[in-house]
Amino acid sequence: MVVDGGKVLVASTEAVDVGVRIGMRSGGVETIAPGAIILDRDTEKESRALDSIAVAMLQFTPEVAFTDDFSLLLDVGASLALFGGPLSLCRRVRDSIRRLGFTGLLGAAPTAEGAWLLAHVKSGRHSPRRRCLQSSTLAFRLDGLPCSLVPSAAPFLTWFDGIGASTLSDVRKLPRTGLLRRTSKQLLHALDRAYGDIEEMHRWISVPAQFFAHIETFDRIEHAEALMHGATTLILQLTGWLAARQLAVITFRLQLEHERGRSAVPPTPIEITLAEPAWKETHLLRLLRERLAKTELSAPVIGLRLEVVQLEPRQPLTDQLFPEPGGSPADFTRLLELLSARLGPENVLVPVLSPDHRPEQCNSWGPATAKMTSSTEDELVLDRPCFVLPKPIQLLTRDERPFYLSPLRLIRGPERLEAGWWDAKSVARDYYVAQGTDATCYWIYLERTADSRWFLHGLYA
Amino acid sequence: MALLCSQVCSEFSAEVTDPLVISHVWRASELAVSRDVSCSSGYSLLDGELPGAGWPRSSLIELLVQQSGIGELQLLKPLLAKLSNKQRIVLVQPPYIPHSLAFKIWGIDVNRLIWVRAPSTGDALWTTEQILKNGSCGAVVFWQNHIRSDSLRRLNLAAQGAETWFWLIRPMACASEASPASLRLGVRPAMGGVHVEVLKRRGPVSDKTLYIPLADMPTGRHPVHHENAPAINFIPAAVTARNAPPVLV
Repeated sequence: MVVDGGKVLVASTEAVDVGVRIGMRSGGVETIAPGAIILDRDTEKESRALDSIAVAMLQFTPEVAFTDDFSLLLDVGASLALFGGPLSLCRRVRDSIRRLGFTGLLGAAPTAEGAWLLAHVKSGRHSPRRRCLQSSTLAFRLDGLPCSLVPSAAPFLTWFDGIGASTLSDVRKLPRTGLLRRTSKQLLHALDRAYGDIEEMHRWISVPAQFFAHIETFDRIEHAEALMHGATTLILQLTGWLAARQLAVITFRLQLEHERGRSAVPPTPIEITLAEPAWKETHLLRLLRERLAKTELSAPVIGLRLEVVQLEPRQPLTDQLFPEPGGSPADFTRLLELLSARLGPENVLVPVLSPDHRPEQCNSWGPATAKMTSSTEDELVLDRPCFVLPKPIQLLTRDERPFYLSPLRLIRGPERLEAGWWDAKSVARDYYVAQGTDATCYWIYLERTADSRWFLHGLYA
Repeated sequence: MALLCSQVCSEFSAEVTDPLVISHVWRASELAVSRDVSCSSGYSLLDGELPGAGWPRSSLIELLVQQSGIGELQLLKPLLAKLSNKQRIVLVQPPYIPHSLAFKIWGIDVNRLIWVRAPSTGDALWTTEQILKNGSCGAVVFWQNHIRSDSLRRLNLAAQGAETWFWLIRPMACASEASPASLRLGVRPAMGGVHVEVLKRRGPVSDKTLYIPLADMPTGRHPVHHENAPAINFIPAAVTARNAPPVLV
């Protein structure tokens, strides 16, 4: 539970079950629940949390503002069509707040003050719904709300009680001049703003020019995969920031911070470079998950830091009228990145043809993510097997014949290859096609050295 | 009028009584017909034995080979060459290094060929599943010796959701294991081609062994009786060390 000024502010459900109540003194709590963990309120941490939510919310709208009582205001009027209507947008906002590790109450209304009031309604059986789209519905909902919800009405609550005005509609029915004389101007303005009678002004947050996000883990974390939760919150902030600045990320770095102080360990960087600039949260998270699963931690992690190394202006997608069955080129790049992230770029290969007669040299493969150009000139078409062995196997000889599983008969050849005098990998071989007794064909060669030996080099798959 | 009606009825009943005449009754001796897309394998003999007259798309096809490198890829060659015009072909975990020049000679666009090596079986299965789910590749050929039956079912399910041709190449010893694949073929080496037996298909049991001649095999149908005699005239050793530059002979 969290204590501020000696009084309980928030308590967990377990603590409430034991008998802890909000507003209780901390001394009383220690008597009722001796095992309870009592934390002091940290306003700095709270404001940092609100900052991180605000940055993440930028992915839904560029107009985000802080309002009183740890609330965030989002002007989503222009985003409704993009996110599939108000219901779907509310669901997505709620989902991203949950994934950031926070809980929130969401109210939606045509006016900002009205949405704020609806969000602050105490949940109960008779409480009105927190979302409305029409001004008339909003006025109807607001009419039933108690005056105590409006912060600027606090000094006059006893007076309101005395004259029997308990709801907002009762207050609004009072003569305006008398109300202005007896209460404050702020209260009247707040009511007018809520009902949409006067214009509202907001100070939208300005998007920082540099992205920087940091999070401290709750405990020392020993397994890299357990960091995924913290990394998710950082990536959510990054996507919000990217959306607000209309940028796409090429390279980003996740720093895993270890012990500080006397036995300080330098942080472990995980750098992810994308083949194509990306800004989609799902793709970034999948890549990060694969990389984290591969990472072995040298020391327990106490914090995570996300930095952006390389950025690019976002290119809008060009859609085709008739989608191709094979998926878009971007789909394929995403697949290559995903495979390279888990298996390593050296295991996802494309052929790089080079004009050479030596089988080892002409058949080289390079990472698919690197942009390599293979020579396209057409060579003399030779007969080559479809599989070659990574290292030729020396064959036994029986009755002066090569032997591999069965005695081999030479059926074609020789094809003489002599090349590579210009580098250290010179070859001098006579290649033959041989066949075993079960009709399997092999590509074998006789090395033209002093003690000529047979080697198996390829298979006709 | 009554006469005409009875004539029609009798014609109709004559049709019904003879089941061989009705075209849309499936008989147990016939191959299954489905609406799934399939593409000709390029070998008419093989097409005749496959339901849908070709390799079915979006399904797990198992090729059980006696050993690797007996011509199993040449069996897929016509379709792979056709697909590579537009789509990508992925080879996952082949037992040896694929020779890109050979694929080029076969008419496969090597710029659309991808070779994926996976350090472990789990990685290989994950890779194949991701490729199938992504759907941006036209064909996947996957070599794996030991697969548990639940992984096989998972692959089959992934294949059904993708518009991809998917072959799994396993050793012949796996033929006795149960498999969710709708098509299983056994492949054995033969002179100038391969022997193919259909182990499982949608349709009647096939006990024939098909001989499929492969044009790119170095040998012909009939064994050469005279051995390539001049080749055995060993050339005297011209080079002393393996990596030393050869002397012209």
